[in-house]
Amino acid sequence: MEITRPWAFAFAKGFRKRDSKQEFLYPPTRLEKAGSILGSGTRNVLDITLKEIKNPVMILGLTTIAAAGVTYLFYPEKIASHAPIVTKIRPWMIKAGVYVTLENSILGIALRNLGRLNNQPLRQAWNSGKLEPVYIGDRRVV
Amino acid sequence: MASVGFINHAKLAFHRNASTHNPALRQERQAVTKNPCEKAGDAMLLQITHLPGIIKKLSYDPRVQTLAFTGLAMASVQAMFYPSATSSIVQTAYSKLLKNVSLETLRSSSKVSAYILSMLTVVGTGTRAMGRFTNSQLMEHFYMCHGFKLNDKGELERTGRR
Repeated sequence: MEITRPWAFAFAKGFRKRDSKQEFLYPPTRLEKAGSILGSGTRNVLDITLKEIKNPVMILGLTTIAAAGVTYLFYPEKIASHAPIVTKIRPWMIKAGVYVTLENSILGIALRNLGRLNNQPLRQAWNSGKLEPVYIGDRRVV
Repeated sequence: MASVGFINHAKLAFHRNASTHNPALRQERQAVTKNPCEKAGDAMLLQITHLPGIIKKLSYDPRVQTLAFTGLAMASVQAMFYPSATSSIVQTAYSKLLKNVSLETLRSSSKVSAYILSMLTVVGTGTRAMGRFTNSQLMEHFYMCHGFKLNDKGELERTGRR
């Protein structure tokens, strides 16, 4: 089995036809579906953030989150008095959360890629050069 | 008139695939039929002739690469976030797998494996060569490809340099 540009094939969010610039629709395999579901959380958050990074609402939201973080670092008791749930968050919880998210994403990408590699029509179209990858954060179709 | 010498016989004995050596025959997708002795020799030499190719093919398979990179990435994340837990898992696995295996056992089993592999290769090459030398059709085709022809007496003689 041969595949051209394997990294682009593995990390693409979706595929677009090179000539018409339309989304390439294909029936995904069960493995690809499972991988997409596993990695959907991280992918969607990243995708929306990157797509809307120039949107004033997104800028405002990110600034607010950053400001709240800095305030918590300098005056944790002030934040705790307004949001008591913050005091229950322990460092190990954040660490475990990041760990689970990362492992989930890696497994999701791997399963999705295995599913794509087992999808012969998709593989043939990709190898023939008719498709181009659409990555996370791309505002065009897909 | 030069006759078939040792080097020509050696070429036939050690050739990777003498039965499809003739380019004309290969083009026609025909091959000289192997006799059982040559087939047995081929079977004994599978680890030399086929295994490296299978490993190479597998290592270039994107599915295998995906699995390998995923395993590596997941293990790296695990080791980065929980180094002590990871090392204890590795140590437990190592001690359970190699619990009853001493260094001496490991060394002797490696020696036996290497001995079996070497013997298989030697006996396989010998059996294959024996099979080829008892296959007159194959010998004729092979030597004719190497600049020999049959004379009136039915003996092979050199026609020119190849």
